[in-house]
Amino acid sequence: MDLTWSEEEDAFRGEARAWLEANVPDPPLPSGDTREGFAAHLEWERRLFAGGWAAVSWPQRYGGRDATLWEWLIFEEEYYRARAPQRVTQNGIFLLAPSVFEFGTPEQQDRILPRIAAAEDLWCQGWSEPGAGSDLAGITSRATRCEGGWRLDGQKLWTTRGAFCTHLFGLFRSDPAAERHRGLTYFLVPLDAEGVRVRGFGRLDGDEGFAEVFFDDVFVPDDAVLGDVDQGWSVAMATTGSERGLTLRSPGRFSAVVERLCRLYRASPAGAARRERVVQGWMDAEAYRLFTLQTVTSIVEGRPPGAESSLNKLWWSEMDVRLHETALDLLGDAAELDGEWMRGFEFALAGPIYAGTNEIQRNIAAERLLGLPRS
Amino acid sequence: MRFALDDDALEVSAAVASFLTKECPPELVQAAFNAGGQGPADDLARSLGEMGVLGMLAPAGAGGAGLSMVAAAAVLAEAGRAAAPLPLTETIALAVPLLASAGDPTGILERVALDDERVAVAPCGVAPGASRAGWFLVGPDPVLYRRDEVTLERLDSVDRTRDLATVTPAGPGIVLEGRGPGMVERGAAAAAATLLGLGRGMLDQTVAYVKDRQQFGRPIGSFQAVKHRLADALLLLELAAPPVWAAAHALDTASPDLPRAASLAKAMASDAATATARAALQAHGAMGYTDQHPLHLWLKRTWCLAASHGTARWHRDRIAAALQL
Repeated sequence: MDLTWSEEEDAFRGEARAWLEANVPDPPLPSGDTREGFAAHLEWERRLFAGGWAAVSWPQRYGGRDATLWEWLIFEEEYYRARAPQRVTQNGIFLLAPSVFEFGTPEQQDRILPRIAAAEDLWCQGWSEPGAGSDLAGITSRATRCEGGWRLDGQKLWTTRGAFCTHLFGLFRSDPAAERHRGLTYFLVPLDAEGVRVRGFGRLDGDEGFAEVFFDDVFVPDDAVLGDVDQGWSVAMATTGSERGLTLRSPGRFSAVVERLCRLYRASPAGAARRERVVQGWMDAEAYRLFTLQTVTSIVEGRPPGAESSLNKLWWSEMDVRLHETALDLLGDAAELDGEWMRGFEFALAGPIYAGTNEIQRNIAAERLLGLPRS
Repeated sequence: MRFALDDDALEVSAAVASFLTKECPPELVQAAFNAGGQGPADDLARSLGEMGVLGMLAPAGAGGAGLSMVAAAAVLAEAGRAAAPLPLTETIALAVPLLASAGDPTGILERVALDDERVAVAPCGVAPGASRAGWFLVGPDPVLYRRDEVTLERLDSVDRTRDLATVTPAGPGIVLEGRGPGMVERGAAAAAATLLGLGRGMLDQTVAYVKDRQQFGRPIGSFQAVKHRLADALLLLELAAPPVWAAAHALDTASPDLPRAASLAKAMASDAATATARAALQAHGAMGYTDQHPLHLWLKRTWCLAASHGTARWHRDRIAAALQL
């Protein structure tokens, strides 16, 4: 056990903190899940990139700064502590990129990664379909071989920020005879390709953060395939591992929420029951921070998490809802106002649903970690 | 930065785990329960002494192994997993290190480490393992008393292996000097480690049970209602573990954050273990609701340790104070 940071890590923290203090927009940007807000966020993303902070853990040649996983954690702590904007590039950086690093050809890596870091290409995720949600293997969107490439047909749904993005990564059924997880291929599709139609629509909070994407005989070349043909499921699973795991939701985000929650309580102390809920919020976030230190130690020492990432996802997603419920409770009759905490609450409510519902995560934990029989 | 059990902690806890698997089966725990914590567990205590486990926190040369509190926490988690019917939380993590850091004023440390002598610990005036103890450490700033300097009044704990008594000093005793971090933090961290192990033990048993038990023509562990409840128990236990190691490490390093680290560990581990106990009982059905099945031994120990060394709520209040809420 050694819970101290090295001099280099402290220096990294100092540099990140100074840059963020000098650059984080004040007042905060409008929501990145609206058209106006998205444009403002793009500017922010490009400023982050120019400062070398867009994807700190990536190699420099792709736009990162070769930061260690520990430094990435430190950066995230500082990022949320500084109340910096939400990351509208998050799906590209945290969901697509891990699969590109693992399965992409050198040509694909050179072509795709730097443009993600620079926020030139904006990626959205195309997995869910009207008939394939928790049962993701029920995908019916098709990919048909043609000369020089593939033709895509079908529909994707719940595509976050699809109306504002430039590209989509998604799974299509390339072998119609194969069933379930087999016969799927991972495609990289520009949304301005002929035959693609995107319709944005409102989420629970009313922002146009969702989209459905229709594919009508859309041509993509062979180099739009990531990984091997018909092997899309395993390519995608590299992404779900990171989505459920620590890269999407670092502890710094929740520690920052708890800080605000404690300030809210101190501003009008409201009795033992509410105080206890605030304390429980601090405990949940602190336990998650320590749990993450343990996970990162395992990764750094060559023991990457497998199904354990389901526990991670269960914890942060349900903690996030509880933290915001506690804040709304403290606010009393002001809770109904469409303010920061209500917005945060609506955002948190999505957590137990996306990236594999928490019911699916509990099945995974029970079957793969406890060894219980399949239902 | 490295958040993981070091090799010495892994080695000693693995040795204890494999020893207890052989020497502390549920039948022995039940026998100790029937005997009020006496007799059947004596050989176990002596063997743990010979293995160097009881004295692991005393310095090498003073009958100990000079190991870390993190290693002791890992050992107590294994003792909890086996529901070892001995006051190990108090002996290993309180009596031995407190005597050692006070310079062993009565010269009993080596005998305590070998189980030739027992010291019962009563931070709030109530001691487990009381009837066999020759010495008593009493109070949050502990004073050491000989057996003939105290009056004992037996208490019937729901867990009969606890051998519980109220300790009333009737003599001057010896104030322990230079004993380092407080009794409250040591007790909380150690009890948290034991509770973590009790929770893991109950979950292990319950997983085995629901894989085996058939209803409606299939194992009940294949039903989502059962699976999800056990997944929740696993989640709570896995998130309680890092705070337990962190609290032990805070003791090892005399961290300024020790009070809240210890309270975090105890509150998380108490809540996780009691929730696991409920899930375990429910999943065992009527089979768990009988003293003919060993599960009751784990349930009762869990309730006792959750209540002692500060309840979860008491520790949350301490955290509130530390956070200036």
